[in-house]
Amino acid sequence: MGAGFRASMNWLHTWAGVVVGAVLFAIFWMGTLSVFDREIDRWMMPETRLAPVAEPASLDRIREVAQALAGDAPSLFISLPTERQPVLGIGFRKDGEFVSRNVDPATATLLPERGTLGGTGFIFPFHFSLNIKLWSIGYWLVGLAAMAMLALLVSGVIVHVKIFADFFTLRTDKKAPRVALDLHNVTGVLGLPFHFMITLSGLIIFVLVYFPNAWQGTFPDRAGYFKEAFGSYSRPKANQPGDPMSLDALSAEAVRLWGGGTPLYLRLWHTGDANAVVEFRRSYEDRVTMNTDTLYLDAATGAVLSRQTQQPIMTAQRFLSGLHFIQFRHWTLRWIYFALGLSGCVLIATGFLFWLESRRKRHEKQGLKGLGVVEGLTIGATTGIILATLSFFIANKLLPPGMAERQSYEAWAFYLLWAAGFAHGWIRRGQAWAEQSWAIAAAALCAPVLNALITGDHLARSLSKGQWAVAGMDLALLALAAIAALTARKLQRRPATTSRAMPGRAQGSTRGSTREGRQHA
Amino acid sequence: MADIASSPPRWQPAALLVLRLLAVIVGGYYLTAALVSLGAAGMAGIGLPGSEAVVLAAMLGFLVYLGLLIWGFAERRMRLLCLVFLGGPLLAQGLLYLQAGG
Repeated sequence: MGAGFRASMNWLHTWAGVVVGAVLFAIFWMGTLSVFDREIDRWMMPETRLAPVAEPASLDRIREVAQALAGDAPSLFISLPTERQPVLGIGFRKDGEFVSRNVDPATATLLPERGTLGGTGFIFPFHFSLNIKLWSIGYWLVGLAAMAMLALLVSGVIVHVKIFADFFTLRTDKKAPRVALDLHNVTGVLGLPFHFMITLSGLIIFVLVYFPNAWQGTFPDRAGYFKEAFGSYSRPKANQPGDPMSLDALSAEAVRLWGGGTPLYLRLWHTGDANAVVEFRRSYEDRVTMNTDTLYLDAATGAVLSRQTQQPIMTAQRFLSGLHFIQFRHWTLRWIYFALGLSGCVLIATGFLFWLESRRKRHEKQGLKGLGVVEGLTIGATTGIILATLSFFIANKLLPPGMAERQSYEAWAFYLLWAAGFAHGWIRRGQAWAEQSWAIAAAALCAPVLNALITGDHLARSLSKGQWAVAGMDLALLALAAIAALTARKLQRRPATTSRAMPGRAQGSTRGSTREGRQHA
Repeated sequence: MADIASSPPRWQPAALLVLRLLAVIVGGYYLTAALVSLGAAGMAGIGLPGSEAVVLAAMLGFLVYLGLLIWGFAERRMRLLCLVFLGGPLLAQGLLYLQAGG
């Protein structure tokens, strides 16, 4: 395990990074935003910016509202409001499609159709599936990228011998490759426990997606395994009209059975039938472990039909999932996750930058073309996706409410801008960095202005009304605008480093960078 | 550190590199998946509840796969590599088949 092993790890780190870096950045960027997905929802769905209510409308009233909309749907879904999501949700299947609507918990009235996928419907699923549904390709790509991330972390630690010294090293006065490498090392080493934990736990969430046949040697069939592991309950319809108990009384019974635990959502099976069942899923707001505690109550009598809890190892799996999902109430930790997620983005971007800057001179001398391809890829993958995200937010404000297929146009605004970000990166090369940074600054400034103009919730108002989600999103956008503008200015003052620049001007002395360049060649 | 540059990995031929990538990434996955199924059966065999054994084995599977990936890109003996990543999944699947039958 001498130099040969380290050389192999160096090769693995370099090329795995270049090949999957773009996908990894997208996953980390979307994951970082997903930390605040419900807050993004509030910003994107102004009709849901409701003040929290102390006494929400009765569940029986909500059932009537849902029933009126759902007709004879086989099951109804009701999610209860939380601190981060002040609306009730109802859902059901109609003509093969899942319909979901928001309900004002104070008045039990339907809110207008969302017309947007929002943070929870677009950004969050993008994080784990790239929103590619065909043959679950998205899941597998994300899984492969996550395994590559773990391999990158391990090989990165092996490559960097001076790991302790790297901890304290950030030389901003040095040339670009050195700064990129220092920043890569600082975020990589400082964030190592987080990056390893978040990547591994992300894989563990989908343990049965990635190892779909793990039951093969233990159970005769998949259904047998699922029954033991998750044990859902169902019973056939009686085909006779039933006399259901009050949902509020059933909910109180669930709380009593859980010793004070509150429900997160409920599902009504066979509504109106004598064999109707109400399923209660326990909230995990107060703990890391995302329990799967489920109660099935007889809708007519309130008798417990089935009660599920998890066994120890499954609880460990739910704990690791909870570490990743952060559905618990803890604002400090939520911000720390956000900051560490951003540090992951910096880690990936600086890895790319170091690859580019340490090769630029040599590749120019040898007339190699690969650098331009990777530079365009890096630009589209980093500044491009940030710009695309902002275009998604701006489209959300500019598209008229009530427009048909409104959410698809929002998604298109994202994908078109993202594609344009890559194209621009490949065409403009080095100049694209500053140009896209200016575009980010302008777009990030534009979004809160549009929010103020269209919804009326400008910063002074959202702050004074305690609309922290809306104010936080506006402030984050303004901070992004400031950072992007500063970056763009700094980039434009720097001597040009592209192949189009005069050969003599490119990068000046590279005495400090040749050593690292050789290491990573 | 300086000798790293002077001893590049000898995987220059593209065909060998493609073979390695396929063997390690695809073969490594199939080997891991088979080991997960076998491991779950083994743990269930010594008394762990079946569904618990499956989850534990599958969670450990990610670390096993990670180990195989690292080794697969460091190992220079191509024959050993092919033996493990092509023969391994076949052997493990065979064992699984026997175990399920018996």
